[in-house]
Amino acid sequence: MKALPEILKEIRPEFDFGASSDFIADGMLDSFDMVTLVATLDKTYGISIQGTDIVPENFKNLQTIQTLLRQCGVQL
Amino acid sequence: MNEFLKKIASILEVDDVKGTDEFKAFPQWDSLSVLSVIAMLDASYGINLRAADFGPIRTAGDLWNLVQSRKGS
Amino acid sequence: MNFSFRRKRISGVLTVVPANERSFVDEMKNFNFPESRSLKLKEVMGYDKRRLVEQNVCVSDLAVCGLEYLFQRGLLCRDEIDALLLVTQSPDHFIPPTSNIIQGRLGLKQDMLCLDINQACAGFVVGLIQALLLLEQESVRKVVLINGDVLSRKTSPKDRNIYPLMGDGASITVVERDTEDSIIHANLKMDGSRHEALMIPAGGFRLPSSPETAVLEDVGDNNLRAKDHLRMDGSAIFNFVQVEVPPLIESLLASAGATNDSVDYFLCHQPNRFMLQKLADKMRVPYIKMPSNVVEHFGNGGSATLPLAITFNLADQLKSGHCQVCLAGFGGGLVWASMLMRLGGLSFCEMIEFE
Repeated sequence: MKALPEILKEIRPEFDFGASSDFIADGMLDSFDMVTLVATLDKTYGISIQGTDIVPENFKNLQTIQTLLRQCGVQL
Repeated sequence: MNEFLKKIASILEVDDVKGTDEFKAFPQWDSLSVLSVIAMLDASYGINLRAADFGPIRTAGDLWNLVQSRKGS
Repeated sequence: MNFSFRRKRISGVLTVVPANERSFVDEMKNFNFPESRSLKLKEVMGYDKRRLVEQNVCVSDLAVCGLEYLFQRGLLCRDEIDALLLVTQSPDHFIPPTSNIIQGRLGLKQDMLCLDINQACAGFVVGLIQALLLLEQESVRKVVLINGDVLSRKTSPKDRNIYPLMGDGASITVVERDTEDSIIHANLKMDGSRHEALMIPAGGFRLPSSPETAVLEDVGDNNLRAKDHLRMDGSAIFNFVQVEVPPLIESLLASAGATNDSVDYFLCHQPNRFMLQKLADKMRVPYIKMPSNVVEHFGNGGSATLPLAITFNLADQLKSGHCQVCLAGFGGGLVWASMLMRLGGLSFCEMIEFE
């Protein structure tokens, strides 16, 4: 099963996500990337991230994304 | 520390990692593995790191010490 | 704001789509994005084909085509039309009203009301509310509600946020008195403070069109669009729908003493499949009760996508029988509106093409 770092890299292979603490502000993820990411995470982890959670604050960096995943019941 | 080293080994796709092993020596060590380590540190230890924090880190042991110091704060 | 109407019904729905079809895959090369990224987006959002008008086709052309089709088949009589409501954000001209242009082109009677209504994607429900309000008057027995837009002509081909999902089209809905003691419930809310989420900045009087407003600019998200073009804050709109629409529908059903289970279909405006599925998840409605397949075949044509969802998915069912439906429209303004009604026994429910 793909892990989050790999999923991010597949969506935007040109960016070094490790170097950023705010993927949205740094232009690494736009609103469509967020949607693509959510759809991939839903499929990968068998969850359904709530539409109301698809906001930039939840996708700022690895930590916020992992917090969201944990809230959806994913064991990281 | 053993648990920690096992997790690092899994990210680097090797059988085992010693505290004195330098990250750069591993063929799998790239920006993706840095990201995976950052993800693991958050998931397993609740520590927030960025790639920039890896500057002074050479070995797995260095990283473990950093984790320990951060956990204290 | 709540509404209820007695003894009124929809008696027919016709949708008109341009024959000209484009495919997302063919157009991907216009965007500043790597193909792999565009393809992933196609899969997630449900983009595939859409229908676009040729360069100088206007809303009145689509409307006249549809109405003439109905006249020719005896499904509607010119002189029966007491009110013609046109919901559009892409009128033929600023002046005169496009509804009058349609009236003139078809030789409709003078003793009638023609009204242009500037509404975006909530426009089918808002238009219906207006039609039902008019039918409260004795002199108004039959209202023709037209929803139509040719907004592809106002979007930038280099804007991957919007261009791949735009579609053009129109719908004609006949609303009249019902012999049954039926009741239609509706509600709506508006929030003008968020009006910038979906707008065309130039072309009106605040910022008239000029050579400067036609210049394509990168606003920082790697898409190119001019001030003359439609722009959408995708994140804001997505979040608005997820947050505001479920409570609106819940409130509507509660006031009608209905539940999710008593509704056969939730017929929503069709922004894209992903958004609708997330909405269905939030409302705990199975996907089969909330069709989300319009964008992948026709694109997002503004307020006409809701009636398009009806003619594309439920034509036979609604001609031969009845369903309890909850309609929901949401979009620019910002406006969100819903309506609960028994729909069926339609004299016509079909889709035609405009060549």
